[in-house]
Amino acid sequence: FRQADTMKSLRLLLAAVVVVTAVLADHHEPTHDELIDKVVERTGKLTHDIYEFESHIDERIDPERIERAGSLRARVEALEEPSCQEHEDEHDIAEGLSHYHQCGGDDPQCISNLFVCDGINDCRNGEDEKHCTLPTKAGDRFVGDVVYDDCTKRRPDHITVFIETVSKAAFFTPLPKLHVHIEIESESDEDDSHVSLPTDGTYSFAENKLIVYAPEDDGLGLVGLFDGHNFDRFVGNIVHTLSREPCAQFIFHRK
Amino acid sequence: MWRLLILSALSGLILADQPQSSTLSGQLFGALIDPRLAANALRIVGLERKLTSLKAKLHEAEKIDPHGFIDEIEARVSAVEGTHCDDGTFQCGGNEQECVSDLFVCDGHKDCHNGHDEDKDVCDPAPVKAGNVFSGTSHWKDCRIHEDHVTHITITGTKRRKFFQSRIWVKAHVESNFKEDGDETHGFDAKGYFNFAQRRLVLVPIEDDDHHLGVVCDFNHGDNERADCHRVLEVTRHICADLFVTLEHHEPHEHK
Repeated sequence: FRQADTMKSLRLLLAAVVVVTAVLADHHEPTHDELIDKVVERTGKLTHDIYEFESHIDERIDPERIERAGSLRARVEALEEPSCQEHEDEHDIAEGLSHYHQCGGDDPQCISNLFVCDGINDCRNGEDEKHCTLPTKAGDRFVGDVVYDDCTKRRPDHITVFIETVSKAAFFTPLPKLHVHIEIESESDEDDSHVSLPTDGTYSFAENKLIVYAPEDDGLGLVGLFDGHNFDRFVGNIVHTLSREPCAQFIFHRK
Repeated sequence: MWRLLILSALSGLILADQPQSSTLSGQLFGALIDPRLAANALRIVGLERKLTSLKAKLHEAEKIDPHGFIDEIEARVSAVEGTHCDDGTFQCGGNEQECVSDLFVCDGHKDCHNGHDEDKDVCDPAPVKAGNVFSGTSHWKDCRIHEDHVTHITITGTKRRKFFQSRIWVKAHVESNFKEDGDETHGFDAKGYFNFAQRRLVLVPIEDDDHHLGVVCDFNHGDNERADCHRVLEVTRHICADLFVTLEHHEPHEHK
């Protein structure tokens, strides 16, 4: 044991000697400028490290990434059993209609759709008043590409929804009113036609749903569903307004 | 502090303009507060501020947990998919299409070909660690007439038999805060078990002369901290109330 100890101290001594000789051999007075250069250089390196660290953090809290994750969660939620069906009518459940909004998070709670974005906290976690910026502002234009179409008059490849004006009643904010134009360009063998059909609509914050009333007398309206996270895209179903039967679908993108 | 630094930086700049050999003090000052050094000091002050703001950002980043998110999505998608295994059996996970009885899960023997039934994450007893407090809001749909109220489930004790490891026997206290005849808290002691295969905690009241209902919790959110619980009638397992609970965290600064 003692031998090991002496060996250790010997080795330490040897190391010290080596270091001292190295320092002595390398020793020369660093000039004033050199010293400052060193300090500035080290500050530069430190700055670089700190900014790199920040970029790592930013990567994690990147809002775009959070939005994409939210969209994925919304798709899973759409597959799961709807969680707010307790007070719903059987016919409404069968038709997939929902009058209740899930507050979500770690504190599930169902509140009426009419309470979402009305300016009063109804969810315990306050979720119902957090996401109340209208995605369809006046001047916005959404262009939809056809998925399938069994009913429209012109069978167009694209439909454009142009939001002309938005009005929100101060005393009832959950359902803002919109005035929109449905613009359709279509070609056939005989002619090229171009229409811009004015109509009204509403946006429901609770369901992230855009409802456009039938612009023509064929009773075909548009129901656009945002996923609640990505507000640059929605799935638009053309439905018979009376039977609510969907008969065409377009995927809309913000232009 | 940084004002002083700017001042000294300025004075350094002025002094440096003077011919170096003119005065001794000029030379000294020029040497002491080199303009580059002063500029560097300013950069360091900037870095200090950046670090403080980073601290706040770090706090924000802690709330975002990509791995936890993926685990949750995976668990929820698996639940939507379902398994082809019968009730009371455990699917060996991954790409294995194998089912084993849930009495064999976490019993210390590998029963799945891929050994998934003895994996660390499957056999993690963390959900029912004694001392855990889960809390959430009970929402009654049947059986009782109550407003939504807070319920706490405290795990008071666990026991795992050496000769039968596939269950953990659990004792717990269930407490609810609601007003009824002026009394605000209602609690009862319960006993039950935790089933690894289903990640399910079952608690039934001990000495039930007050007709308390049992609690069944499924840890089906991909972690050990959140569970979908229901208050159920013991015999029929009819669901009377929904209760989503999360593990209460004891903040370390409370102990200071």
